[in-house]
Formats: sequence, C-alpha cells, structure tokens
Amino acid sequence: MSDERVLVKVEHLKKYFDTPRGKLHAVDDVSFEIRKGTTLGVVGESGCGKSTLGRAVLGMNPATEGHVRYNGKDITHQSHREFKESRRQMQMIFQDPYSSIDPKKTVSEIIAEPLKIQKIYKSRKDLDARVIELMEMVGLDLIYMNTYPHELDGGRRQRIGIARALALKPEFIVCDEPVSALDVSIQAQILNMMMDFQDELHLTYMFITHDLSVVKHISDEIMVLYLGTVVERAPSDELFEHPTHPYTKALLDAIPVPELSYHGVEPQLLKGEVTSPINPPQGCRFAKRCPYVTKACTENMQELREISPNHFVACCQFGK
Amino acid sequence: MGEKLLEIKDLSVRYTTDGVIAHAVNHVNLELDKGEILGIVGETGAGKTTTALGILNLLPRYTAQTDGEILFNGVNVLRASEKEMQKIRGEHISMIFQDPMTSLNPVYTVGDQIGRVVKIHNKEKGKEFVEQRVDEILNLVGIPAERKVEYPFNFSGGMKQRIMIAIALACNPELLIADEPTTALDVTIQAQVISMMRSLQRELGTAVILITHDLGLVANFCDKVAVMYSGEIIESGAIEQIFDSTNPHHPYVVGLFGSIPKITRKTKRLTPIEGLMPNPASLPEGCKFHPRCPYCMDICKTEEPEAVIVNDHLIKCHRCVRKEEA
Amino acid sequence: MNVQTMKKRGQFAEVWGRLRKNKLAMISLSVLLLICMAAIFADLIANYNNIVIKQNGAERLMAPCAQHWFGTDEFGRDIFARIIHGARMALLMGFGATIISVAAGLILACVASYFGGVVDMVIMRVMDVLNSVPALVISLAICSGLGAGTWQLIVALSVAGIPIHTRMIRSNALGVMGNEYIEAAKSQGASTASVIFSHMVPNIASIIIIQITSTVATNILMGATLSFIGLGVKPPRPEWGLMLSSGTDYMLKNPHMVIFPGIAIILTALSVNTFGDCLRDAFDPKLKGKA
Repeated sequence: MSDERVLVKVEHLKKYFDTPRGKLHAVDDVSFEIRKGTTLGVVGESGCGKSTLGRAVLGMNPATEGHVRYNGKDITHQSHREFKESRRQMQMIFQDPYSSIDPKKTVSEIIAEPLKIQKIYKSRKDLDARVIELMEMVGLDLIYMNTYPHELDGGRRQRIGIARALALKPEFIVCDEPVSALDVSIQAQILNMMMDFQDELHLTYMFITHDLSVVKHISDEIMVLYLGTVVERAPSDELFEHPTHPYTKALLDAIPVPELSYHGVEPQLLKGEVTSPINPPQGCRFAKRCPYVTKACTENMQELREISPNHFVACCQFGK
Repeated sequence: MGEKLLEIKDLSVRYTTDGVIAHAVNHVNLELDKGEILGIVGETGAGKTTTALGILNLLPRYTAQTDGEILFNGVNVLRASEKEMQKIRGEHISMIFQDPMTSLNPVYTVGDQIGRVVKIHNKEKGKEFVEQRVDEILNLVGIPAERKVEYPFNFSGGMKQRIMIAIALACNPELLIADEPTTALDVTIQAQVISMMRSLQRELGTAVILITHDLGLVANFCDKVAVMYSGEIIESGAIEQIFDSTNPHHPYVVGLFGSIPKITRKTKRLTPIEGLMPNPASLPEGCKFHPRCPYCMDICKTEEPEAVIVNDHLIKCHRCVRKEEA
Repeated sequence: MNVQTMKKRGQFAEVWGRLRKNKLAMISLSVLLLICMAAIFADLIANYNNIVIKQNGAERLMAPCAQHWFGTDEFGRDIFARIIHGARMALLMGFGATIISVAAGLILACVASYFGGVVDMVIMRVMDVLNSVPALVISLAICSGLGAGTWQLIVALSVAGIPIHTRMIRSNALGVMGNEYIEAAKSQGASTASVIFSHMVPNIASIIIIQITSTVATNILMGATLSFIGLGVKPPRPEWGLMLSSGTDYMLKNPHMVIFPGIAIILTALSVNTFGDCLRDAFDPKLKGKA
C-alpha cells in the first residue's frame, strides 16, 4: 500500500487554545498521512479534538505547532490568497445541516457560493448549469432550486452541504460528523452517496465521527483519538479484529449492537470521568480511566509504536 | 404475564397550528406490564415523544386534540384532572428527557433539586428524612453523596443524566419514561448510564419505556419493542421476534436494519429506505409507508392494512395479511 | 431555463403576510403613510415662503376656524400649514438620524463581532463610555458645541444613538457568528466584507428593522425636545417641538397653539412605536404574548 501517493501528511500537529484556566491542549502531537483515494476515519468522543484537528488540516484554524503537507506542499500557514486558492482542492462537509446553511439564501445560491467566490464560471447560464448538475448529482429535486432551506428536512439540507463541498471539484474533503444529525434511514442514503462519489470522483476523505459503526463502514484506515492524542491507528478491519489499546477496546465494547445476542450483555465499563484537557498531567491521558494502569503510564507520554504492519498503538503494555 | 400497568387504547393525537392539522399519532395500541421494559423505536417525527407526553398528559393544551384512552393502573390519564395528574407524575410515572444540559436548573444545587421532588411526595416527613433519601438516591446512581452541595455546572453530561435519572427515581415510580436518554452522550458514558438504569430497574422493579432511534440500545436493554412510523405502530413484539431476521417483518423494519452499518460484519453497501417519512399534515392514502415501500402493491395505495397478530407479534402490512390467508 | 421550481417565498413575504392580518399594524402604517405624504406634498398644500414663514400681523393668535383649521400663531402664521411642513423636519430627524446611527452601529457591531478579541473589546469599551452618559446629555453637548441648526441636530441625534444600536446589533451578530454557515463561507475563502454583507447582515436584518422603528419615535421626541429648549432647529423654520415651545407663552389663552403640535408629535411617535411592535411580532410570531 505504501506505493500509493500520499495526499495529506500531518506531522506533529499541535493546537492549543488559551483559556482563563490555562492552555487547552485540543490536539497534542498528532501525526498521520492519508493516501489518495482512501478514507481516514477519525474516531473519538466529544472533546477529543477531532473537529479541531479537521479544521487545522484544512488550514481554517492554523496549528500552533507542526506541519500539514498537501501534495508535498506545506500549507500550515497560508496567506488569505493561498488559502482561497487551496479551496479548489480541499473542502469541508459540516455536521449540523441546520446551522451550516444560511437560512436567508436559496438552495441554488448556497450551492453557487463557492463558484462565485472563486469566480470560475463564464456566464450566469454557465453557473446555473453547474448548480443544476450538482443538484442532480446529490439527488436534490430541481423544484427546490429557489426554495429557502427552512422548508427542507435534515437529509435534503445535508445534500445541499455536500453539493456545496463538491462544487469546486475538490480532491480532498474533511467530513465533520456529516451524518450524526440524521435519522438512520437518511444516514444510510447519505453514506452510500458519499461512497459512490469517492469511487466516481476519486475523492479522499477524512471522516470525523463518534459513531464507530459508521466509521468502520466507510474507512480504510481508522485513527482513535483520546483527549487530543492518537491512541491507536490501524487499517479498519485490523482495528476491529484486534483492538489493542484499552480505550479502543472499551469504545468497541460500549457500542450497543442491534443483534439478539447482545440482549442483556453488560459492557465492560470505564470508571471515572475524563481528564481535563486544560494543562493535562504528564503521562498517558487515559491513565485515569485505564483498568491496566501502571506507574510507568503516569510518568511518560506514550509514543505510537507499530505492533504489526500498519497497526500503531500508544500504550506501554504493547509493542515492546 | 405480569400485572397490567399501562394500556393505550386507540390513541390518536392531532396538532393544529395555523389551521393545518398534523396527525402526529394515529390509532396506537400499547400494553405494558409491571416491571417490563418496552422500547419505542422510530425516526424523527414518528410520534414517539408525542405518545410519551400523552401518557403524562403533558401535551400542549390548546393545539393538541386527543382521542382514545390511556389507562394507567385503570385510570384514564387523558381525562384526569390536573390535580390527579400532579400526583401521578413523579410519584407513579417519571420522565427523563434527551438533553441533560438543559433539564437541570442551574441556580439550585443538585441536592436541592432531588430533595424538592422527594419533599413534594413526602410532605409529612421531616428534613432529616429528605436529606437521608437524597444521599441514598445519589449513592444509587453512583455519585458520591458529598457532591449534593454542588451546582449542575460542576458535573459532566453523563453525570447530569444520571442525576436526572436519580430525580426521576426519587419516588420509586412504577413507570419510567426515558426519551432518548443517552442520545446526547458519548458511547462509553452511554454504557454507564444504561448499565445503571438496568441495575436500578432490576432492584426497584420499575417498568421502563425507552424511546430511542438506536436499535442497538433496544437489543441490549428492552424486553419488548414497538416500531413507529408516521404515528402508527407498524410492528411490535418481543425482542426475540423483532430481532430474528427469519421472522416475517414489516418492510420498514427490514429497511431500518439494512440502514445500519454492521460493526460485526463487513457490508460493502447499505440498503437504505429510499425517500422520506411523509409530512404528518398530509399523510398518504392507504398504508402510510407505501410511497417508500419496495414491495408496494395496488391495495397498499388505497387501503390501510389491518394489524396481523401472531403470538403477540404484530405487523401492519398487506403482505402479511396475504400470507395469513394463503 | 425550463426547470420547474417551487416559488420563492422569502422571510419578508411571510412577514408581510402576517402583518397584513394585524389591524393595529395596518392602522399605524396608514397613519405613518399619511404623515409621509404630508411631508412629501407639503409644498402643494401650502407655500413655504408665503404662508409657512411669512408673518401676518392682522391674523395673530386666531382660534381654529374655517380659513385656518388649526388657528394661527403669535405671528399670524397658519398652524396647519406649519404642522404639515413640520412633518418634513420630524421625519428627517426621525428617520434620517436613525438610519445614520443604525448604519454606524451596524458597521461597528459587525466589525466587533467578526474580529472579536481586542477589536471587539476596544469598540465595546468606547461604546460603554458613551453609553454611561444619557443620550439626551450627549446630544445636548454636541448641539451646544456645534451650535443650533438642522444639520447639527441630526449629527447630535445620530451620535447619541450609536452606542445602543452597536450593543443591540452586536449581541445578535454574535449569535449569527456562532453558526456553521459563517464558518462554511470562510472555509470557501470568502472575504471579510462578503461574509459580513452576504451572510451576517441578511440574518440580522429583522433586528435592524426593529431597531430602526423603535428609535424613530425616540429621535422625533428628542429632536422636538432639543428644539424646544432652543438647541435644535432655528426659527422661523416650522418644527413641532419649536412650535410647542413658542406656544407655551400663549398656552392659557390660546391652547390651540400647543394642542395641535402636541397631537402631531404624539400621533407620529405612537404610530411608529405601534408599527414597530407589530413588526417585531410579525418577525417572530412565537415571541407574541411573552415578555
């Protein structure tokens, strides 16, 4: 797999926020790469820094330290012009189909916005044709062209968001929980559509979610985040077959599976509450909740180690 | 079969706003025994929450009209006076809501808020009794009793939801209605909350109605399931019947299972239900699912299917009616 | 294009639909329109130089009669004609000053909420300082600094209104800033100006309109007050506050000199306020009956 071209390469990315109580370590020393045409799933619970990471990769929220390389070019700190230029390659799909769409714009205006900002249409007719093409692509009935979003349901709104992200024909899309606000039947429609687009348009996704079953379905590789640090990274099947980090195991264990054999099954519970990401203590961030915690865990930060090909774990119990 | 606790007979709820009538719940029948756990599954707008609010007689008075009966211990709550209802709510039926962040009052301590509920229902008891009961309840939900003097903002989402459950259970209700209690929580926290609900349920013998869109949660926690679509129960039965794919099922239920990515198996492609749930203000003729149904027949477009019940497994679909006849 | 589409039905069409059903809104709107018509066609109703400002010793202090509907003042000028021409002044002060101050407030508020941080802090602290002085006192200070006169008055009223508008609009703009569509526009590389004008402003338009209608009446009253104490419009220009002021000397014997300008002020302020209230209800029907 290593001969495939690396599209996005993130090196020791850190993103800290200043808060009245100290530095909030939203993303702390994260490195990974995404190969062209594949999907990297980023999983974690609320507050683990997954959305911040996605925005930092896109340059919307520049990193405190570290580098983001896109096609080999360092895009960590861009001027406004470079940023605008790079939007033709990289786009984002947002989580909330209700707040990510301007209620005062019609559907066609929303979809046309990226094209207008980049001024890449020849005439009004050209623009309309492209909007119609995009609407057909994402399965939006053309009768909605001039309607305002408040008349549409969440699924249709999310389709608008996807059409907007596809308008500039990007290669790389960061999807920030694009289906978690939708009902399951709609969620499946959108997931199928996104996977079809990946095949047809050769898209590369960074798919951020808290839903493990969704991430398993769509990802080639999965990265598990815990409080801003990567605890495990592996190819999708490998991660689900051999989860290694105690947090990954607990996470997998906690998902309720819609099958009869899971009736009444008690998952292994994590004790304790999450450590604060503000001025976090030395050592493994998960130590407070880890059932296998040792003295070594609280002393040093755990490095990611490769325990089998392409399977990385940050835990001192493994990979020695 | 245990003792009957709740019986919903032919319940219909309509909302009228600006002259538009929305049929939120249509002819729903449900039964719940003491100590049973029922899961109500459905998508947004299927009428789950409306049904639950009906049980507590908390539907908005001026916009909602109800038909049918909701019998709780033989009392029709829809016709009960506000005074009777206040006694029933909290003492006999409690409800927990989806958002733990807004359900607690930020200006009172957690102990105060639990104590208030205890006090309302134990008026003659003294202050010490209330304090003692508050400590007991907090311990029950796994929160140290010393923390009762703290305000809600000191607690995390999962803890707040456990406190909400503590308040709901403060008077040992016979029925607990949990409306999407874990939707706003992370999976590991959800597991803690569900596990706590289960042990409390076993300890206290409370009957539970769990309203959710998560079939996994239902498989894990419930004894019985009712699947709602467009305000109707289109399939219901014991969890063994619903989750057994060899049984006949309503096409919507099949579609719902096909829409969930499986964590235990690799599926290349999901098989979703195409289309959208109809607008409750303009429901289709005949079977309400027919515009989205892959097996739609002519009869589905004109006639509403009768419910077919085999061993308490109810399905409302013309295909099942045919099979019965054949 | 031959694509069949659903009809555009924006928020303003909906608001107008709701407004049309409200009797109070329609009455106050008609009164307002009447006043506007009077202001626009004032010259057709009465000649400015010959009737409005020309003194006529023979017809001093006449009570209302068929020839002079509202009577005449101490210089024999027709009060009806002066009130009609005074409407121009009132609307200029009311709407002119309001629009200037709301526009300034809008720009400051958008800049403050878009950039946040230090920019926000500096703008808002300056507004706090201005806000700590009553608006009337600020206008008084400006008027006495610049001297009496129509334009000076409008400047004074505009400046006095800026802090309150900035504050109101900023709090709403901050709410809009929190939406993902602002981030989405930024993530497309949209410029600051285009984010502010094409996303932020349309989404706070309802607040802006409400701000304008609720301030017009205040400004008319404040302008009348300043003219009343001799700091605003200079005589012989017809201005309602000024007419009220000069009428007080003759009030006991010739009450019509204060009654008619007084009614004009009250009617205008009342109808603008009522219409503003109805407009607010129409924008947010859920709000009605609450707080």
